[in-house]
Amino acid sequence: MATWLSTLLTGSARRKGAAYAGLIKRYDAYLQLLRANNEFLELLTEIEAMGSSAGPCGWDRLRSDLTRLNVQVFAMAKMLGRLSAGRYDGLFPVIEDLGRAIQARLDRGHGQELEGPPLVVLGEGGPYGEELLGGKAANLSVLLSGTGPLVPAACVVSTAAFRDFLRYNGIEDTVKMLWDTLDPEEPAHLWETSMTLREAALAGALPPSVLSPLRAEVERLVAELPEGTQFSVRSSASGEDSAFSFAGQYDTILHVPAGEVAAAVVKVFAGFFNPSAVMLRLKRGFGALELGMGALVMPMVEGRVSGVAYSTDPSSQDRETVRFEAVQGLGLKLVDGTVTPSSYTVDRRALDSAGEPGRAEGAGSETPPLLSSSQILRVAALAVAAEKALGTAADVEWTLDEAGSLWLIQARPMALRPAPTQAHAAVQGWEVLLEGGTPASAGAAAGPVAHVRGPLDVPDPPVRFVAVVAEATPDLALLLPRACALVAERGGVASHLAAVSREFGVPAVFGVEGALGLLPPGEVVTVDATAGRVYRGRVGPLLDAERPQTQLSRTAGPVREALLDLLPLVVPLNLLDPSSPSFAPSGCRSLHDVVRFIHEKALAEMLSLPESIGGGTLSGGLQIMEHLPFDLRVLPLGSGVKMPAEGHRISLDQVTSSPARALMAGLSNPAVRRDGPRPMDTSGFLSVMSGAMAGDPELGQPGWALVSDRYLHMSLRMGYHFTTVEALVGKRPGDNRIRLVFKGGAADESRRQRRARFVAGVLEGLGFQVRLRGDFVSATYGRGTEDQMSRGLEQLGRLLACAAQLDMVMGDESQVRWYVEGFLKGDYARILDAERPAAP
Amino acid sequence: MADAIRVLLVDDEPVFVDTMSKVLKARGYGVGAAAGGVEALEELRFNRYDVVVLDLRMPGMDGIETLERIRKQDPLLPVILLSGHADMSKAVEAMQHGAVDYMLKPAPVDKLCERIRSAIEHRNILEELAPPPGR
Repeated sequence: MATWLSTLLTGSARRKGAAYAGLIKRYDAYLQLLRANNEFLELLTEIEAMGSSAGPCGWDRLRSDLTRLNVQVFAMAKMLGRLSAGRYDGLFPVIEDLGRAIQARLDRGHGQELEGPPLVVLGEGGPYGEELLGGKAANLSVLLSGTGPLVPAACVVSTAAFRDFLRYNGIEDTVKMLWDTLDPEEPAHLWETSMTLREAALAGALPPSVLSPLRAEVERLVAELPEGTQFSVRSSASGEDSAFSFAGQYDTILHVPAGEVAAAVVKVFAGFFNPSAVMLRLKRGFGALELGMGALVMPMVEGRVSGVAYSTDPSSQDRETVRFEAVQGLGLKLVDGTVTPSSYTVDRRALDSAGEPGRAEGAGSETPPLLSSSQILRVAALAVAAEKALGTAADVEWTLDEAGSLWLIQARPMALRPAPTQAHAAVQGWEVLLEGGTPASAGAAAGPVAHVRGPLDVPDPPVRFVAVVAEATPDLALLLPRACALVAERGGVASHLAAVSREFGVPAVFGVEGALGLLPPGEVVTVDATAGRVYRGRVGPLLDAERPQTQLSRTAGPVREALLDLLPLVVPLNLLDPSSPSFAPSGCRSLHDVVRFIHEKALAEMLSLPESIGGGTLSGGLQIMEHLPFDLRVLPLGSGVKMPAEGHRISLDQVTSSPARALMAGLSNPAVRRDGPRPMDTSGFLSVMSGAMAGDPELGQPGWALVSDRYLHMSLRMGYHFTTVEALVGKRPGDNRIRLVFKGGAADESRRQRRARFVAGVLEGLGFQVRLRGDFVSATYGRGTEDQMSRGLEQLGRLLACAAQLDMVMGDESQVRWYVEGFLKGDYARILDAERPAAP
Repeated sequence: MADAIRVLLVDDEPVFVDTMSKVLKARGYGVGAAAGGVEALEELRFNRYDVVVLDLRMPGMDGIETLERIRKQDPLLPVILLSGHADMSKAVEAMQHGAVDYMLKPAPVDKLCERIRSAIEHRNILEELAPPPGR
């Protein structure tokens, strides 16, 4: 390595080594920065999902995600420091401040260790929350106040008791230690570990502090109730019995004689370690013992008829209908599926009037019927009362005893069908204009199409429009309050703009090739981002189905509150416009801002890479043997070229750099070559200088291409133009980028400007984002797939080759348009034969 | 496998080391283990490793000090920090001392392997151009 390196660089051996090593270090820092950026955006997506989902989430997950977020931001700042020689060190105090503020909000929310009695008689003392009582018991105690004496006398062995149980039996530390080894992707190990813990719990005994009050209460109940009354012992875990619960994961034990209640409680406690429950808690980001297990002890009611009632019909989501099912005997047979229940529906409106009972459908073929009309109404009324008490649609387990008393055994918030997250079939009767892409933000919306080139490019009058863009750049976030939907030809789901779309609730779909062509401006369309479809017109059924999700979970209360509290420090993007003076560390109000700032500055540093290591130390390099319109030397950065066995010449085939190959393919394309092969110079190399002013010393400078397998940084002078092209083309569309800077040189002012307009016009036509200022053009093309990027680079290569031929032309304005069109049509002759410009 | 990536696990909890070793070996990694900082440094002097996965909290020489010493001994050896507790200031401290990443337990194995792979990739780039001392 050392020998060919020395042939590439001039200056002393030490200087060469240092210069080259410096280059490598910066490239390496850039790649690490990109990786941290991606990681950050993925974590951001996760945190947002936690904030907006109705399901439970754990402190552990929240803390760990936030810590990792901070780590990525810090890593990015460090890498930027390497790229910029510490120019942006003002970022570190900003990052520290944000970290401290986030930590403060986290600490505020996170409670102390749970305090509370080991045994709670429902309806006495308190009020106690779900954290101490567990979900089932907490719901019941709410209902106790709501529906009165229809709930059987119950007591609960609290989650505090569970914690004492684990400590007393020496299990607590084991759980914590083993939890750290668990991985939802390693189910075998998870199963083994869970079973081990379960066995340990089953072998344990209730500590005296729990056993005494439990025994006392059971004895009291036995004295009050008929002889021979048995008990049911049910799990009442924190995190359970919310709409997205651990339903079915824990245990219920029926027909427990008074003397065996304590043993049954231990069994229920052990159920905390059921493997699937452990898996669910792990996946949702809960810590080892962040949730707890309570045991709900109730006297058994020998039901004559039992069932489950829904205060809203779950199949039709019809709010006016109560639906329930009933079986003879205990409800267990129903939920087991061993007996087919009878179904009943009751119109809710009938419950308010004292008159006619509601219709009862499918009353079953039993004779005599299971329930009388008045009993049917009472069950329905019970469900509705439960709904009122819980504040949300409820499903209720009920039982009717021999004496005709109706008892409510269990109730929980009902999971209403959430908005569809799977792709669904196209809606019939509407024309599908395009299909494809990936949903970046779910939902559907309709409005007139506007082709948007930049964040300030909003249509007039100010209606809520569907923004269709070439590329999902972060600055488009400015649009979001105005746009009702977003369609981008290029862009990724884990991107700044996707994150902000989700935060604003704007449906967005990215990666939709050809969107600009297929969606005409002004056309009213409906974007179904979830399914990746755009229809012509307003699709009523889709838009009507857009119902806001009901927040049904209450158990994640303190975690979600803390999360919502600190979201403003993390998620929102305030820094949108890189050219604004507030685009600075002091303007960063969230971690997202910091990341955006760093990303932007890192790109700028990479663009000026060759100069940054001290001009004049690069010379030599590898020469390409194919025809290129200028002298270009290639300098590999660790990869990008298959090195020749000896000498300095390589063929295009030996270039392994993906972006370089594509660009050079365009540059060397015969279609953009003028007339015939260029003359060889005396040294035998194909070295081409364009333009008539071959004697100009400026033009004697070769162009430089720094390459690696995925990266290209090319700077060159072609005739009078100065051009820089930088590209990163890899497997991850989010990282991919082409950046071009083009500045006219020599010639008169107006000609230079027209040349710039030609270049800008072509680039716009190719789908680049272009900024034109006088004779200066800067353009980017980003976030495409490898193929898209390669095609873009190839076209760019052709453009650069053409532009090299343009010194003599551009007499007047109308010609600019003519040449732009010619190029975009592939009619290069227009440009190449331009000494004899045809009339437009 | 001659080309297997060799990982050194440094953690004082034998259960964790056992489990993680098994899982990593099953994915084709070579795994070595050390129960603490001192042992880790010894191990690194005598055996070749491609990456170190280091627990932050250990009795005796703690994670940060171990990290510092490893970096001094072999600046090109990537170190990934694992911790059972989310502590933002410790995480930043670790990054300042040159850890390539900071992950929290329980760490999904896929993520850990991905980190290891990308750490190696970067090391390869650097090594090609700046050969380590002694070569």
